[in-house]
Amino acid sequence: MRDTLIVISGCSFTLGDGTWPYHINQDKYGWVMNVGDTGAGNGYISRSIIWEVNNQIKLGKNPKDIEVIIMWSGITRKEFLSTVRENPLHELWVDGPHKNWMGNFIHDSGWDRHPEKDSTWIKSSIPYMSWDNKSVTKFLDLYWKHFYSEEESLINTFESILRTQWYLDNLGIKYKMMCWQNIFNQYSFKVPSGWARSEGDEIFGHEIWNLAWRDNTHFKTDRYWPDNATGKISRDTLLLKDIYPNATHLWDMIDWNKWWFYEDDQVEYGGLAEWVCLKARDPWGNGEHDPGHPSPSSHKKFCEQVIIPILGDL
Amino acid sequence: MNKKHIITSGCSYSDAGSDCWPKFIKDYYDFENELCGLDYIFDDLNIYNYGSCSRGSDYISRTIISGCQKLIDRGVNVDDIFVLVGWSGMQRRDMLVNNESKQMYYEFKDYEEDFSEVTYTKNLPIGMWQAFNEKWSKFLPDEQSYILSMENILRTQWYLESNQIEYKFFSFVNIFDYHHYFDVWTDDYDLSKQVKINKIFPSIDYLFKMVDWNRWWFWKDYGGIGNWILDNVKGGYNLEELDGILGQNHPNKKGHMEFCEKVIVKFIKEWSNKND
Repeated sequence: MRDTLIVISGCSFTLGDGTWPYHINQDKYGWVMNVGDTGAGNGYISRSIIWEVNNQIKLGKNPKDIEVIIMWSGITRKEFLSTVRENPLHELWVDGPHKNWMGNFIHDSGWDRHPEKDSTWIKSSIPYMSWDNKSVTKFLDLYWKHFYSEEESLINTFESILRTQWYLDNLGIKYKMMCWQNIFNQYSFKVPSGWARSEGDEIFGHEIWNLAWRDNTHFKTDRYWPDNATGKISRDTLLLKDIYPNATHLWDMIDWNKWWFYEDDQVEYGGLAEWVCLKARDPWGNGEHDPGHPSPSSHKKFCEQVIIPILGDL
Repeated sequence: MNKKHIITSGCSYSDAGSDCWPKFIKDYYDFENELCGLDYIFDDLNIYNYGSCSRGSDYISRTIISGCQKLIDRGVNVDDIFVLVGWSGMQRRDMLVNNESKQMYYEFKDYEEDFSEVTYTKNLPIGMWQAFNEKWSKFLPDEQSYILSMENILRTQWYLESNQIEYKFFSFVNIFDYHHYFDVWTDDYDLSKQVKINKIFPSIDYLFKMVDWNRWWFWKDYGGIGNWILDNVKGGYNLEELDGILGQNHPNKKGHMEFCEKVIVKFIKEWSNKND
């Protein structure tokens, strides 16, 4: 096992303090290389996996000793390359606090990333995300307004998944894919009675799972999924591939045997978010500073109960 | 012997409807034709030509993958499929035409489809895509466009390899040299003096090195169909289309027929021999 290298990628549900990859016992299961990034979309995630696997093989690693786990992100996200060579605003775009709108997966042997001063991937994150860098936000707003369509984004996500699948298959690399939350269905949730948000309000995606609708405040420590909210959420809802039939032929080529999903009476094709809320029944949130993500304790449970059995079976 | 299937795609240099090389493959298969002898090889042959004017690698990759998968889903043995691709300009990008983009772009106003059902491009269920190079170029730097095209090439390569489908790739002209596809080239254009894209953009290098170059055909130093025809077929370019790539826009029928006879037929024979 010690010769095994586990290459992992995803978005902020994968890369962050105390996220699930950091709870893998590396002495037992293999060396973990987490190449995910905050706000990453599926194009970036695919690139980061392919780059890292290729890099490791170039460094002499046998593909048989490489395992890959990918937690795919939202289909809407997209990345744009900004370079000092071609973008007159590049210097402005790489300036500012946190710099979490930028990412580079290419690194040297000391894990120093390709310098952002030369080039960086600008991450859209969610639609109309307001980054601290206003110039970047204005640029991305143009994308959302003039270029984005859900259907094209779905096709791009399927193409990213398939590109990665075929690359890994050809090398005989063992892998498992999953998602941060359901990204394949069109679903919503109606807020039940008794909570701060008005009864019957329809909410979508991550807004459902972060449970802020319980209290309408920045953060609370008791954001549990209510026991009496038992109705169907994504279960038996339309799949996006059926809403957008131009994507169906791509969906059909995905090797679903290589995927893990959390499913119960309420949800299908679920990911980490559904597992934390509905299976682990953990309170949502990573503290006052980070209410939108699962806590390290939930990540630890997810690692122990989901990831470790997967690694054992690969 | 099973029926054989050849799938082709590319840009205007590979558009069967514009008298390009895919159109003439059957000539070398037709028993009555004097030219050559693919008729000795195949009992029966279907050719699916998806090449289309002004299309880039987005379109080419999608048509090849979908075209192959359609045959596989129909039960065709992968050994009976051969793929030929003339890859196009690396900066070309498409936009999906659907009800959302119709609202955004005046250029799409004439599409009458309601896009609630699957839309076909050349009988493939991949949706309807329109070349959108100039608008995308406002968003995508050359470097990213090259990355996207390399990813399209690799996605197609990996799809074909994972399905064990035989293929041969080439390019319309020398696309791995750094230039813009609108550039006007002069008669003294020298392939050997061009700079490769991975030297201009080091971030492309890892993609460049993952390409299985053994599956590619080049004329001289990464030259393509146009470079071969310019060097090998006298009068092979359409002189009425001046001021375009290589001094003229497109090779003519004569150029494509010779390219088919002297280059393409060889690939098909090699594939056939492998299957024997």
